[in-house]
Amino acid sequence: MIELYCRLLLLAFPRAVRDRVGRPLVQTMLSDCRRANGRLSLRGLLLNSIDIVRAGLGERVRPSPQPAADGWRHGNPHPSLSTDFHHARRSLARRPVFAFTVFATLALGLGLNTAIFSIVNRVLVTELPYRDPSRLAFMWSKLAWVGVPRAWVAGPHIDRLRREAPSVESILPIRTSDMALVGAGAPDLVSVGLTTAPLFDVLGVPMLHGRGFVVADEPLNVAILTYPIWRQRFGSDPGVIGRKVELGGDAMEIIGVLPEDCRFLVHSSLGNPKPIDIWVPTSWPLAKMSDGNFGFAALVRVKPAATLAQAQAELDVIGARIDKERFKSRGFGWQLIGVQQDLVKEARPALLLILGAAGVALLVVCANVTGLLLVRHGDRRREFAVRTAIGAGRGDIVRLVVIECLTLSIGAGIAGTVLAAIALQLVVAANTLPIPRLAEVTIDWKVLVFTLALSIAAGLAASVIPAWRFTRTQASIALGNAARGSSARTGRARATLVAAELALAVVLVVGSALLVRSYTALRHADPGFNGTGTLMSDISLLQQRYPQEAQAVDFFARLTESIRSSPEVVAVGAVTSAPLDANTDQANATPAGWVPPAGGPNAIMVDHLQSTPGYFAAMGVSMIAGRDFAWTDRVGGERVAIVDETFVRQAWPDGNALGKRFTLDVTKEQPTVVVGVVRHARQYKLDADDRPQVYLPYSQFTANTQLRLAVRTNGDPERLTAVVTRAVRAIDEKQPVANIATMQHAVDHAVADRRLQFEALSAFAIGAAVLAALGLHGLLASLVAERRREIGIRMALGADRGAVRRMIGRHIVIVTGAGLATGLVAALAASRLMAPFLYGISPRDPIAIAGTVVALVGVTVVVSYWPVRRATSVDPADALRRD
Amino acid sequence: MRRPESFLPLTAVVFEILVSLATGERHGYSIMTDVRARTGGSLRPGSLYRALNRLLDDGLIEELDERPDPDLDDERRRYYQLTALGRQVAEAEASRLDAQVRAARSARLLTRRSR
Repeated sequence: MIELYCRLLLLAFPRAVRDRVGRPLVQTMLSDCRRANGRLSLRGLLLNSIDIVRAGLGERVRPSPQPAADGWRHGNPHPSLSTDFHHARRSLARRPVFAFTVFATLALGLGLNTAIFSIVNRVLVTELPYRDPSRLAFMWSKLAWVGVPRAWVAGPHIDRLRREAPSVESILPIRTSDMALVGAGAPDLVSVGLTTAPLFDVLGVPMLHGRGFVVADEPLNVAILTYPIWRQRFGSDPGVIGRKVELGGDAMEIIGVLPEDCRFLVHSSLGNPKPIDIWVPTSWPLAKMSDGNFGFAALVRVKPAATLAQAQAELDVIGARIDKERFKSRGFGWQLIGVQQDLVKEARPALLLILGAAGVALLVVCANVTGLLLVRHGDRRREFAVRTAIGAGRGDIVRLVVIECLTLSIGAGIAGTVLAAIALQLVVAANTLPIPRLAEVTIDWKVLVFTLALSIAAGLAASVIPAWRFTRTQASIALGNAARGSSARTGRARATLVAAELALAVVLVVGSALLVRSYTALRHADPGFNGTGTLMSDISLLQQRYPQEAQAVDFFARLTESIRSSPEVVAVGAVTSAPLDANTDQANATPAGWVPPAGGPNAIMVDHLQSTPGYFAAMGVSMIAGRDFAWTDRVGGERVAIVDETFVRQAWPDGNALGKRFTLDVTKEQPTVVVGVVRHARQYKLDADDRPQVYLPYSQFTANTQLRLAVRTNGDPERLTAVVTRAVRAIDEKQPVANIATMQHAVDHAVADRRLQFEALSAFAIGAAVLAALGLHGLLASLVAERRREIGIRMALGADRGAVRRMIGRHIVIVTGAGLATGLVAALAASRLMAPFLYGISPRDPIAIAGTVVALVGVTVVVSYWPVRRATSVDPADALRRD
Repeated sequence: MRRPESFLPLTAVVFEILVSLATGERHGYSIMTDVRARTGGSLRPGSLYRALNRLLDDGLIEELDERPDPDLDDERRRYYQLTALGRQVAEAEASRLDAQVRAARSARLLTRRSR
């Protein structure tokens, strides 16, 4: 990476020089920047970078190949860098407003890019803190015939791969479960990761305290704490090792604490990964389990001599065999996805989008700074002419211009890094951004090198046009006519820059308008439920206290009855998995008399949930037909079910489902009759999902003692918290109530990533538009100032204010017209990149594009008002007298 | 061929590079560390190669085709040596400086020590 950076720096040199000494120069630079201990010296890198740029640009303006003197001819023949910087500092100090404006703009632009690059660097580039993470992967099952590309893995398959796949060093089954933790503060539900013994050996993570699992550990007898829960619930006490806690009703001994940087996440098959609080070893009879139950997340480590690709090839062969033997060749297989890739796959495109947008914003900043430099160097033409007259060469002046700008941009880079560090601390502390690994984000040396390179690049980019323009200006002309010089050409260059700024701003504004429109569309889309006014909480009954299914049913019947009697409660019910939980069990449903489509699956894969009476009303899921469950739907009575509209469409296309029968593999194929039809409530994502849903009455199918309680009110749902906890305590004092949050919170959470995208892009777009507007205003103001005399003459000769207005107006129309047109073309060209981020609108959405044009034209009109007014208020006599 | 005197006076960087190469062929990094050690200055890679490029242009130094010890070396390293002209130019600059130093000494700017 540093080598690439050096090569970029080499671009300062003319090509002929680069071809001849480029390679050894890079080599020498690299050797020189390494300290004795092999680490990078940032100071050396910085000084050498500046030296390369200085030497390269000096070489570019060297008039002819003769051994010319290197520095100011009238002074020290070998000015050192410090002399150059000293000159630059003095010269900048003479114009503090200019210096501060450039410095602040660059610092904001560079700080923004530094902060975003730090996140991208940590999330997408830095390897996870495991031993040899490139050989770790999650394994997923592909079930092509039910349209599931990423299912978990079946127990017998894990057992078989352990024996048959030679490249696989180890393969671990992992399950997660919420359990009640007793013995560390108030009883609470915690997220528990269950796995077989050597998980942390496979990951290669050493313990912070205590020891990892060993094979001799008895199942469900010992526990390892992750760093966050150790800090929050156990007060960071190292003496916690050996302590007993009660977890899910079992007594367990704490044997270890994981280090802070180990945040191993188990991915759910859809949705976002959930952090684990406590790890517990267990054992499963893998070989004897059902091979149709894809119930394990599987972590694979391949052998040192093998690659993931080799392991994948072996898996393909074995998978094809299983597909043929067991699944009638309907498309079963496995897929390995590297742990890092798996972790960041949701966040990656959005991060790259935001990084790209920040880059565009930095370009606008550079264009703006270039414009400022052009104005400033126009003012300094006399100074340069004097310097030339007393012996400074063209190269000397160019160097002065470039070093001045580099001083500012590198200083701004440092300030920007400080700003970024502060901003990142706030962002990490707030911890509200939907980005994995966010808590690990730091500014490391890679970020520093990136910012340094970007600062130098920005400084060079901003100074190259002013420097180049100077070399085209004859010194004698400048001396003789220092006041006017080539202001027309400077004006053209500035107009081009302003048009470019506008064009870049258009790209950002169109992008953010599209995201805002898409976000609004998503918020207004009907997810099949209405969570306003609904409070959610988790109630997980301890197996020991409620060993009989009937006891659990009784508990929830009494609880819902007691909560409903509260006057502010409109409806109450419970369910195994609420909308947007992205976590349900699947089952295969076979409707009676159903004819499977030719070549298609011979059953309908459905999400199966269990709910109590009142749940649909509490969640705002409309009943389309039939009735809700009742507590009288009991074991032993007729098996009943409520199905969603999607299931009806697939099973009974004529739309008439009430009274129809079907069977489910999870109820051992007992015939079940449909008593109700409900809307499809989106289970995985707000924007799309259509897996059919089948609800069974909790009182008839009690596989689970953990339910999500939904309580609806007409007022503020937060106020129901006390009602719920009081009702639970009244029935069972020791029963914890966990994860109390409004359903609205879950909806907000589900759109948080899109919200971040549109907020980030909108902020950049507004910044870019403001900079472009300032650039346009500056351009027009100096145009009017320069043409004051001309305007005066014209008016003296009889031109009216309208003619003057037209003269200035033509400039405005040309500059903004060119900028807007170029920007729109670029935005349309880039619209394909935006498509994956949009919901419900086209990437060429006319409203977003028209809105952008209207907004930017409006901005143009506002910033043009004062310069035009000043132009038309010129007093001809006054203008003529002044000159 | 240009006369050696026409190159004078040399810049300090160029002269130091020629002095460095007077004892035999060297690669860029070696020249840089040698000059730094001798002058206590901080010659940096960009300036070094800018000067080397000009010296190549002017025919004062040349690139070696063969490496002194290919097994021990990174292939990206290039070795440079003085040409006959380069040696003459270095000698001319040295005697010019020597004359200046003698003049300074006779003006009692230098006290006699070892020599």
